[in-house]
Amino acid sequence: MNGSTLAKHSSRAPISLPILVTPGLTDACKRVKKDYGHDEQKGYSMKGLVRIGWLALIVFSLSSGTAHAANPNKDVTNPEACQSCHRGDSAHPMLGLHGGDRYGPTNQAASCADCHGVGESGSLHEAEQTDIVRFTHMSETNNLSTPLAQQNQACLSCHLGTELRTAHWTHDPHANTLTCASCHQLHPSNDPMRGLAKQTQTKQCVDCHSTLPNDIDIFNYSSSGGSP
Amino acid sequence: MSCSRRKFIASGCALVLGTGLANIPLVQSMTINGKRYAMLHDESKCIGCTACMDACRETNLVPEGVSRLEIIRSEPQGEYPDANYSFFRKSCQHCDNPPCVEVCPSGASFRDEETGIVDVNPDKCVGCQYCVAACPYQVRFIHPEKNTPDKCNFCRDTNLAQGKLPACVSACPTQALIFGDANDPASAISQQIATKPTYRNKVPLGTDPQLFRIADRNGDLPS
Ligand code: SF4
Ligand code: SF4
Ligand code: SF4
Repeated sequence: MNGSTLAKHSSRAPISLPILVTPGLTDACKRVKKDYGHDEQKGYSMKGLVRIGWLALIVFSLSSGTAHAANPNKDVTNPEACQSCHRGDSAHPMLGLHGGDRYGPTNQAASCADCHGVGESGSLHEAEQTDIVRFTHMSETNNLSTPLAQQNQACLSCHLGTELRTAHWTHDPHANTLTCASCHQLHPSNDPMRGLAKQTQTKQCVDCHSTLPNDIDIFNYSSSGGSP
Repeated sequence: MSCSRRKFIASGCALVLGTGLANIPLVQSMTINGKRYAMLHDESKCIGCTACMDACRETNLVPEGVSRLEIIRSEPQGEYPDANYSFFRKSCQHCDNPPCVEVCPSGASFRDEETGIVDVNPDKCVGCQYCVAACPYQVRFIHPEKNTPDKCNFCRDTNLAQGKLPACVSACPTQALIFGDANDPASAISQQIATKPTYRNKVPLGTDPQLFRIADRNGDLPS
Protein backbone atom coordinates (compact mmCIF):
# COMPACT_ATOMS: atom_id res chain seq x y z
CA MET A 1 0.00 0.00 0.00
CA ASN A 2 1.41 3.34 -0.85
CA GLY A 3 1.09 6.67 0.82
CA SER A 4 -1.73 7.93 -1.32
CA THR A 5 -4.11 5.06 -0.57
CA LEU A 6 -3.16 5.43 3.03
CA ALA A 7 -4.16 9.04 3.11
CA LYS A 8 -7.18 8.83 0.88
CA HIS A 9 -8.99 5.60 1.36
CA SER A 10 -12.04 7.15 -0.22
CA SER A 11 -10.69 5.89 -3.51
CA ARG A 12 -12.19 2.51 -4.27
CA ALA A 13 -8.93 0.85 -5.12
CA PRO A 14 -8.74 -2.27 -2.97
CA ILE A 15 -6.26 -1.99 -0.15
CA SER A 16 -4.54 -5.33 -0.09
CA LEU A 17 -3.73 -5.95 3.51
CA PRO A 18 -2.92 -9.60 4.13
CA ILE A 19 -5.21 -11.43 6.51
CA LEU A 20 -3.22 -12.26 9.60
CA VAL A 21 -5.75 -13.79 11.88
CA THR A 22 -8.66 -16.11 11.36
CA PRO A 23 -11.86 -14.29 12.31
CA GLY A 24 -13.80 -15.57 15.26
CA LEU A 25 -10.80 -17.38 16.64
CA THR A 26 -11.13 -16.11 20.16
CA ASP A 27 -13.60 -13.88 21.90
CA ALA A 28 -10.97 -11.22 21.91
CA CYS A 29 -10.82 -11.40 18.17
CA LYS A 30 -14.39 -10.27 17.77
CA ARG A 31 -14.79 -6.63 17.11
CA VAL A 32 -17.52 -4.22 17.87
CA LYS A 33 -19.56 -3.52 14.78
CA LYS A 34 -19.92 0.18 14.48
CA ASP A 35 -21.03 0.49 10.91
CA TYR A 36 -24.70 -0.08 11.42
CA GLY A 37 -26.48 -2.35 9.04
CA HIS A 38 -23.41 -2.90 6.97
CA ASP A 39 -22.43 -6.34 5.89
CA GLU A 40 -19.04 -6.74 4.26
CA GLN A 41 -20.31 -9.32 1.80
CA LYS A 42 -23.77 -8.07 0.99
CA GLY A 43 -23.27 -4.33 1.17
CA TYR A 44 -26.05 -2.44 2.95
CA SER A 45 -29.18 -3.94 4.36
CA MET A 46 -32.46 -2.10 3.91
CA LYS A 47 -32.55 -1.35 7.62
CA GLY A 48 -29.06 0.00 7.41
CA LEU A 49 -29.91 2.18 4.45
CA VAL A 50 -32.94 3.57 6.24
CA ARG A 51 -30.79 4.33 9.26
CA ILE A 52 -28.18 5.95 7.14
CA GLY A 53 -30.89 7.95 5.43
CA TRP A 54 -32.26 9.18 8.73
CA LEU A 55 -28.82 9.98 9.95
CA ALA A 56 -28.00 11.92 6.83
CA LEU A 57 -31.23 13.84 7.25
CA ILE A 58 -30.56 14.65 10.89
CA VAL A 59 -26.97 15.56 10.25
CA PHE A 60 -27.96 17.65 7.28
CA SER A 61 -30.57 19.59 9.22
CA LEU A 62 -28.21 20.03 12.15
CA SER A 63 -25.37 21.29 10.10
CA SER A 64 -27.43 23.31 7.64
CA GLY A 65 -25.42 22.09 4.73
CA THR A 66 -21.99 22.84 6.17
CA ALA A 67 -19.37 20.38 7.34
CA HIS A 68 -19.98 18.61 10.65
CA ALA A 69 -17.25 20.46 12.45
CA ALA A 70 -18.70 23.88 11.67
CA ASN A 71 -21.04 24.13 14.64
CA PRO A 72 -19.50 22.96 17.93
CA ASN A 73 -22.88 22.20 19.50
CA LYS A 74 -24.29 20.19 16.67
CA ASP A 75 -21.34 18.35 15.17
CA VAL A 76 -19.61 15.03 15.59
CA THR A 77 -17.35 16.35 18.31
CA ASN A 78 -20.42 16.36 20.54
CA PRO A 79 -20.97 12.77 21.72
CA GLU A 80 -24.65 13.43 22.24
CA ALA A 81 -25.08 14.22 18.58
CA CYS A 82 -23.43 10.91 17.62
CA GLN A 83 -25.18 8.89 20.27
CA SER A 84 -28.57 10.11 19.24
CA CYS A 85 -28.13 7.52 16.50
CA HIS A 86 -25.14 5.43 17.54
CA ARG A 87 -26.59 4.21 20.78
CA GLY A 88 -25.39 0.70 20.30
CA ASP A 89 -27.47 -2.30 21.20
CA SER A 90 -27.21 -5.10 23.71
CA ALA A 91 -24.61 -6.86 21.58
CA HIS A 92 -22.59 -3.74 20.88
CA PRO A 93 -23.22 -1.28 23.66
CA MET A 94 -21.52 2.07 23.80
CA LEU A 95 -19.98 1.69 27.22
CA GLY A 96 -16.63 1.46 28.85
CA LEU A 97 -13.69 3.76 29.10
CA HIS A 98 -14.06 5.03 25.55
CA GLY A 99 -17.83 4.81 25.30
CA GLY A 100 -20.50 6.45 27.39
CA ASP A 101 -19.59 5.55 30.93
CA ARG A 102 -16.69 7.71 31.83
CA TYR A 103 -15.76 9.78 28.87
CA GLY A 104 -19.20 10.22 27.47
CA PRO A 105 -21.51 13.21 27.72
CA THR A 106 -21.18 13.49 31.50
CA ASN A 107 -17.40 13.60 31.48
CA GLN A 108 -16.16 14.72 28.14
CA ALA A 109 -12.54 13.72 28.42
CA ALA A 110 -12.76 12.18 24.97
CA SER A 111 -15.32 12.68 22.28
CA CYS A 112 -16.20 10.33 19.46
CA ALA A 113 -14.33 12.59 17.09
CA ASP A 114 -11.14 12.36 19.13
CA CYS A 115 -10.75 8.82 17.91
CA HIS A 116 -13.00 8.55 14.87
CA GLY A 117 -12.12 11.94 13.40
CA VAL A 118 -14.59 14.45 12.03
CA GLY A 119 -14.30 13.54 8.39
CA GLU A 120 -13.21 16.07 5.86
CA SER A 121 -15.65 15.69 3.06
CA GLY A 122 -18.91 16.23 4.89
CA SER A 123 -20.07 13.00 3.31
CA LEU A 124 -19.66 11.39 6.67
CA HIS A 125 -22.11 8.56 6.39
CA GLU A 126 -21.88 7.71 2.77
CA ALA A 127 -20.13 4.68 3.94
CA GLU A 128 -17.96 3.89 0.96
CA GLN A 129 -16.49 7.34 0.93
CA THR A 130 -16.40 8.11 4.59
CA ASP A 131 -13.15 9.28 6.04
CA ILE A 132 -14.30 8.57 9.55
CA VAL A 133 -11.74 6.31 11.23
CA ARG A 134 -13.08 2.79 11.68
CA PHE A 135 -11.38 0.43 14.07
CA THR A 136 -11.30 -3.08 12.72
CA HIS A 137 -9.81 -6.46 13.37
CA MET A 138 -6.93 -7.25 11.00
CA SER A 139 -9.03 -9.87 9.24
CA GLU A 140 -11.64 -7.20 8.46
CA THR A 141 -9.21 -4.61 7.25
CA ASN A 142 -10.31 -4.23 3.67
CA ASN A 143 -11.04 -1.47 1.22
CA LEU A 144 -13.90 -0.15 3.33
CA SER A 145 -11.91 0.25 6.49
CA THR A 146 -9.22 2.54 7.75
CA PRO A 147 -5.62 1.49 7.06
CA LEU A 148 -3.65 -0.02 9.91
CA ALA A 149 -1.28 2.89 10.39
CA GLN A 150 -4.10 5.39 10.57
CA GLN A 151 -6.14 3.29 13.01
CA ASN A 152 -3.23 2.81 15.34
CA GLN A 153 -2.17 6.41 15.11
CA ALA A 154 -5.54 7.40 16.56
CA CYS A 155 -4.85 5.18 19.58
CA LEU A 156 -1.23 6.26 19.88
CA SER A 157 -2.19 9.91 20.12
CA CYS A 158 -3.16 9.15 23.73
CA HIS A 159 -1.54 5.78 24.52
CA LEU A 160 2.20 6.29 24.41
CA GLY A 161 4.46 3.49 23.22
CA THR A 162 6.32 3.49 26.52
CA GLU A 163 3.06 3.00 28.43
CA LEU A 164 2.02 0.22 26.12
CA ARG A 165 5.32 -1.54 26.72
CA THR A 166 4.84 -1.30 30.47
CA ALA A 167 1.29 -2.60 30.21
CA HIS A 168 2.40 -5.64 28.20
CA TRP A 169 5.55 -6.32 26.22
CA THR A 170 3.59 -7.86 23.36
CA HIS A 171 2.53 -4.37 22.28
CA ASP A 172 6.06 -3.88 20.95
CA PRO A 173 6.32 -6.72 18.43
CA HIS A 174 2.78 -6.19 17.12
CA ALA A 175 2.95 -2.44 16.69
CA ASN A 176 3.38 -2.52 12.92
CA THR A 177 1.53 -5.71 12.12
CA LEU A 178 -1.77 -5.61 14.00
CA THR A 179 -4.47 -3.03 14.46
CA CYS A 180 -5.13 -2.31 18.13
CA ALA A 181 -8.73 -3.39 17.56
CA SER A 182 -7.51 -6.86 16.57
CA CYS A 183 -7.22 -7.55 20.28
CA HIS A 184 -8.95 -4.70 22.09
CA GLN A 185 -12.60 -3.78 22.21
CA LEU A 186 -13.33 -0.29 23.36
CA HIS A 187 -17.07 0.08 23.64
CA PRO A 188 -18.10 -2.84 25.83
CA SER A 189 -18.10 -1.99 29.53
CA ASN A 190 -14.80 -3.82 29.92
CA ASP A 191 -12.10 -4.59 27.38
CA PRO A 192 -11.75 -8.39 27.47
CA MET A 193 -7.97 -8.01 27.27
CA ARG A 194 -7.82 -6.37 30.66
CA GLY A 195 -6.77 -8.51 33.60
CA LEU A 196 -6.32 -11.76 31.69
CA ALA A 197 -4.82 -14.62 33.68
CA LYS A 198 -1.29 -15.58 32.62
CA GLN A 199 -2.37 -18.83 30.99
CA THR A 200 -5.15 -17.09 29.11
CA GLN A 201 -2.63 -14.60 27.81
CA THR A 202 -0.52 -17.48 26.53
CA LYS A 203 -3.58 -18.93 24.86
CA GLN A 204 -4.07 -15.68 22.95
CA CYS A 205 -0.57 -16.03 21.51
CA VAL A 206 -1.06 -19.68 20.63
CA ASP A 207 -4.49 -19.24 19.05
CA CYS A 208 -3.29 -16.64 16.58
CA HIS A 209 0.25 -17.79 15.94
CA SER A 210 -0.65 -21.41 15.28
CA THR A 211 -2.74 -20.22 12.33
CA LEU A 212 0.08 -18.28 10.71
CA PRO A 213 1.80 -20.03 7.83
CA ASN A 214 4.99 -21.60 9.08
CA ASP A 215 7.10 -19.95 6.42
CA ILE A 216 6.20 -16.40 7.43
CA ASP A 217 9.20 -14.63 8.85
CA ILE A 218 7.38 -13.00 11.73
CA PHE A 219 10.30 -10.78 12.61
CA ASN A 220 10.42 -9.31 9.16
CA TYR A 221 6.74 -9.12 8.57
CA SER A 222 5.05 -5.85 7.84
CA SER A 223 1.41 -5.81 6.86
CA SER A 224 1.57 -2.16 5.87
CA GLY A 225 4.41 -2.97 3.51
CA GLY A 226 2.24 -5.30 1.47
CA SER A 227 4.51 -8.30 1.24
CA PRO A 228 6.59 -9.98 3.89
CA MET B 1 49.43 -24.91 23.69
CA SER B 2 51.02 -22.65 26.27
CA CYS B 3 49.01 -19.52 26.51
CA SER B 4 48.90 -17.22 29.53
CA ARG B 5 45.68 -15.40 30.29
CA ARG B 6 47.23 -12.10 29.33
CA LYS B 7 48.60 -13.45 26.11
CA PHE B 8 45.38 -15.26 25.40
CA ILE B 9 43.44 -12.05 25.46
CA ALA B 10 46.07 -9.93 23.83
CA SER B 11 47.24 -12.22 21.08
CA GLY B 12 45.59 -14.36 18.52
CA CYS B 13 45.18 -17.40 20.76
CA ALA B 14 41.45 -16.92 20.67
CA LEU B 15 41.58 -17.15 16.93
CA VAL B 16 43.64 -20.34 17.01
CA LEU B 17 41.28 -21.87 19.57
CA GLY B 18 38.26 -20.78 17.60
CA THR B 19 39.56 -22.38 14.45
CA GLY B 20 40.34 -25.55 16.34
CA LEU B 21 36.81 -25.83 17.72
CA ALA B 22 35.26 -25.20 14.37
CA ASN B 23 36.82 -28.37 13.07
CA ILE B 24 35.01 -30.57 15.55
CA PRO B 25 31.84 -31.88 13.93
CA LEU B 26 28.78 -30.63 15.78
CA VAL B 27 27.00 -33.94 15.59
CA GLN B 28 29.33 -36.56 16.91
CA SER B 29 28.43 -39.52 19.03
CA MET B 30 30.79 -40.14 21.88
CA THR B 31 29.46 -42.96 24.00
CA ILE B 32 26.01 -43.67 22.75
CA ASN B 33 25.04 -47.07 21.48
CA GLY B 34 21.62 -46.35 20.08
CA LYS B 35 19.66 -43.15 19.84
CA ARG B 36 20.92 -39.82 20.98
CA TYR B 37 18.02 -37.55 21.64
CA ALA B 38 18.63 -33.86 21.15
CA MET B 39 16.57 -30.70 20.92
CA LEU B 40 16.71 -27.64 18.75
CA HIS B 41 15.26 -24.29 19.80
CA ASP B 42 14.80 -22.08 16.77
CA GLU B 43 15.00 -18.63 18.33
CA SER B 44 14.14 -17.05 15.03
CA LYS B 45 10.71 -18.69 15.20
CA CYS B 46 10.11 -18.39 18.95
CA ILE B 47 7.54 -15.76 19.91
CA GLY B 48 8.08 -16.02 23.66
CA CYS B 49 4.55 -17.18 24.36
CA THR B 50 5.70 -19.62 27.10
CA ALA B 51 3.17 -22.25 26.01
CA CYS B 52 6.07 -24.71 26.28
CA MET B 53 6.58 -23.80 29.93
CA ASP B 54 2.92 -24.31 30.75
CA ALA B 55 2.81 -27.64 28.90
CA CYS B 56 5.90 -28.93 30.71
CA ARG B 57 4.48 -28.00 34.10
CA GLU B 58 1.20 -29.71 33.35
CA THR B 59 2.61 -32.90 31.83
CA ASN B 60 5.39 -33.44 34.31
CA LEU B 61 3.48 -32.22 37.36
CA VAL B 62 6.05 -29.57 38.15
CA PRO B 63 4.84 -27.52 41.14
CA GLU B 64 4.54 -23.74 40.94
CA GLY B 65 7.64 -21.88 42.03
CA VAL B 66 10.10 -24.20 40.27
CA SER B 67 10.39 -25.09 36.59
CA ARG B 68 12.18 -27.47 34.27
CA LEU B 69 12.01 -24.98 31.46
CA GLU B 70 12.15 -21.21 31.24
CA ILE B 71 11.94 -18.94 28.23
CA ILE B 72 14.02 -15.90 29.07
CA ARG B 73 12.96 -12.74 27.30
CA SER B 74 15.61 -10.15 26.54
CA GLU B 75 15.23 -6.46 27.19
CA PRO B 76 13.49 -4.67 24.33
CA GLN B 77 15.82 -3.85 21.48
CA GLY B 78 14.80 -0.62 19.78
CA GLU B 79 12.00 1.82 20.38
CA TYR B 80 8.28 1.48 19.83
CA PRO B 81 6.97 0.72 17.23
CA ASP B 82 10.14 -0.98 16.04
CA ALA B 83 11.22 -2.76 19.19
CA ASN B 84 11.94 -6.45 19.27
CA TYR B 85 12.91 -9.18 21.70
CA SER B 86 15.08 -12.28 21.81
CA PHE B 87 14.10 -15.48 23.55
CA PHE B 88 16.42 -17.95 25.18
CA ARG B 89 15.50 -21.43 26.33
CA LYS B 90 16.86 -22.34 29.75
CA SER B 91 16.55 -26.07 30.42
CA CYS B 92 18.75 -29.15 30.74
CA GLN B 93 21.10 -29.44 27.78
CA HIS B 94 21.41 -33.22 28.07
CA CYS B 95 25.16 -32.91 27.94
CA ASP B 96 27.07 -35.72 26.29
CA ASN B 97 29.68 -35.09 28.94
CA PRO B 98 27.54 -34.14 31.94
CA PRO B 99 29.27 -32.70 35.03
CA CYS B 100 26.14 -33.38 37.09
CA VAL B 101 26.58 -37.11 36.52
CA GLU B 102 30.32 -36.87 37.07
CA VAL B 103 29.96 -35.47 40.59
CA CYS B 104 27.05 -37.64 41.75
CA PRO B 105 28.34 -40.02 44.47
CA SER B 106 25.38 -42.38 44.41
CA GLY B 107 24.61 -42.91 40.76
CA ALA B 108 21.25 -41.17 41.12
CA SER B 109 22.17 -38.71 38.38
CA PHE B 110 22.75 -40.77 35.30
CA ARG B 111 22.89 -40.64 31.58
CA ASP B 112 20.79 -43.23 29.81
CA GLU B 113 23.10 -44.92 27.33
CA GLU B 114 20.21 -46.00 25.12
CA THR B 115 18.95 -42.50 24.50
CA GLY B 116 21.54 -40.04 25.76
CA ILE B 117 18.96 -38.58 28.14
CA VAL B 118 20.34 -37.32 31.45
CA ASP B 119 17.91 -38.12 34.25
CA VAL B 120 17.66 -38.44 38.04
CA ASN B 121 16.63 -41.54 39.98
CA PRO B 122 15.17 -40.14 43.20
CA ASP B 123 15.40 -43.54 44.92
CA LYS B 124 19.18 -43.49 44.73
CA CYS B 125 19.64 -39.83 45.62
CA VAL B 126 21.32 -39.05 48.95
CA GLY B 127 20.45 -35.37 48.78
CA CYS B 128 23.96 -33.95 48.66
CA GLN B 129 23.03 -31.53 45.86
CA TYR B 130 26.47 -31.77 44.25
CA CYS B 131 24.77 -32.02 40.87
CA VAL B 132 22.82 -28.82 41.47
CA ALA B 133 26.08 -27.01 42.10
CA ALA B 134 27.97 -28.70 39.27
CA CYS B 135 25.58 -27.92 36.44
CA PRO B 136 27.04 -24.96 34.56
CA TYR B 137 23.65 -24.19 33.06
CA GLN B 138 21.94 -23.89 36.46
CA VAL B 139 18.93 -25.86 35.41
CA ARG B 140 18.63 -28.21 38.40
CA PHE B 141 16.32 -27.46 41.30
CA ILE B 142 15.11 -29.32 44.37
CA HIS B 143 11.64 -30.67 43.74
CA PRO B 144 9.55 -29.37 46.65
CA GLU B 145 7.57 -32.61 46.96
CA LYS B 146 10.22 -35.23 46.17
CA ASN B 147 13.00 -33.31 47.93
CA THR B 148 15.45 -34.52 45.30
CA PRO B 149 16.94 -32.71 42.31
CA ASP B 150 14.74 -32.41 39.26
CA LYS B 151 15.13 -31.02 35.76
CA CYS B 152 14.05 -31.58 32.16
CA ASN B 153 14.38 -35.25 31.21
CA PHE B 154 12.96 -34.89 27.70
CA CYS B 155 9.69 -36.22 29.18
CA ARG B 156 11.42 -39.61 29.41
CA ASP B 157 8.92 -41.03 31.90
CA THR B 158 5.84 -39.17 30.64
CA ASN B 159 5.25 -38.32 26.99
CA LEU B 160 8.25 -40.17 25.60
CA ALA B 161 7.28 -43.33 27.48
CA GLN B 162 3.88 -43.08 25.80
CA GLY B 163 5.43 -42.69 22.38
CA LYS B 164 4.59 -39.00 22.20
CA LEU B 165 6.77 -35.99 21.56
CA PRO B 166 7.92 -34.00 24.59
CA ALA B 167 5.15 -31.77 25.90
CA CYS B 168 6.96 -28.52 25.17
CA VAL B 169 7.55 -29.54 21.56
CA SER B 170 3.94 -30.35 20.81
CA ALA B 171 2.70 -27.23 22.59
CA CYS B 172 4.77 -24.81 20.54
CA PRO B 173 2.51 -22.91 18.14
CA THR B 174 5.33 -21.91 15.78
CA GLN B 175 7.25 -25.21 15.59
CA ALA B 176 10.22 -23.49 17.16
CA LEU B 177 11.15 -26.68 19.00
CA ILE B 178 12.41 -29.76 17.23
CA PHE B 179 13.14 -33.00 19.04
CA GLY B 180 14.66 -36.14 17.66
CA ASP B 181 17.53 -38.55 17.28
CA ALA B 182 20.70 -36.70 16.37
CA ASN B 183 22.32 -40.04 15.50
CA ASP B 184 19.83 -40.57 12.69
CA PRO B 185 20.94 -38.46 9.72
CA ALA B 186 17.40 -38.55 8.31
CA SER B 187 15.73 -37.13 11.43
CA ALA B 188 14.32 -33.60 11.29
CA ILE B 189 16.74 -32.38 13.91
CA SER B 190 19.78 -33.79 12.11
CA GLN B 191 18.58 -32.19 8.89
CA GLN B 192 18.20 -28.83 10.58
CA ILE B 193 21.59 -29.05 12.25
CA ALA B 194 23.19 -30.05 8.96
CA THR B 195 21.64 -27.26 6.92
CA LYS B 196 21.26 -24.30 9.27
CA PRO B 197 23.74 -22.40 11.38
CA THR B 198 23.23 -23.50 14.96
CA TYR B 199 24.98 -22.72 18.20
CA ARG B 200 25.13 -24.27 21.63
CA ASN B 201 25.59 -22.67 25.00
CA LYS B 202 28.94 -22.81 26.87
CA VAL B 203 30.57 -25.26 24.46
CA PRO B 204 34.12 -24.39 25.61
CA LEU B 205 33.37 -25.99 29.00
CA GLY B 206 33.51 -29.36 27.29
CA THR B 207 30.03 -30.45 28.35
CA ASP B 208 28.99 -31.18 24.76
CA PRO B 209 25.42 -29.93 25.22
CA GLN B 210 22.70 -31.49 23.08
CA LEU B 211 20.43 -28.46 23.07
CA PHE B 212 21.03 -26.74 19.76
CA ARG B 213 19.86 -23.26 18.95
CA ILE B 214 19.22 -21.21 15.85
CA ALA B 215 19.96 -17.58 16.64
CA ASP B 216 17.37 -14.94 15.84
CA ARG B 217 18.28 -11.79 13.99
CA ASN B 218 18.11 -9.48 16.93
CA GLY B 219 21.60 -10.18 18.09
CA ASP B 220 22.12 -10.01 21.82
CA LEU B 221 21.49 -12.95 24.06
CA PRO B 222 20.41 -12.46 27.64
CA SER B 223 23.44 -12.79 29.90
S1 SF4 C 1 22.63 -29.17 31.55
FE1 SF4 C 1 23.22 -29.41 33.68
S2 SF4 C 1 21.78 -30.93 34.47
FE2 SF4 C 1 21.66 -31.06 32.24
S3 SF4 C 1 23.10 -32.67 31.69
FE3 SF4 C 1 24.21 -30.75 31.53
S4 SF4 C 1 25.18 -30.52 33.53
FE4 SF4 C 1 23.59 -32.06 33.78
S1 SF4 D 1 11.29 -32.05 27.15
FE1 SF4 D 1 9.67 -32.46 28.65
S2 SF4 D 1 10.68 -32.17 30.62
FE2 SF4 D 1 11.99 -31.18 29.10
S3 SF4 D 1 11.31 -29.07 29.07
FE3 SF4 D 1 10.18 -30.12 27.46
S4 SF4 D 1 8.28 -30.72 28.47
FE4 SF4 D 1 9.72 -30.20 30.11
S1 SF4 E 1 6.10 -22.52 22.91
FE1 SF4 E 1 7.52 -22.22 21.18
S2 SF4 E 1 7.19 -20.09 20.56
FE2 SF4 E 1 6.29 -20.30 22.61
S3 SF4 E 1 7.95 -19.70 23.98
FE3 SF4 E 1 8.07 -21.93 23.78
S4 SF4 E 1 9.52 -22.26 22.12
FE4 SF4 E 1 8.91 -20.11 22.01
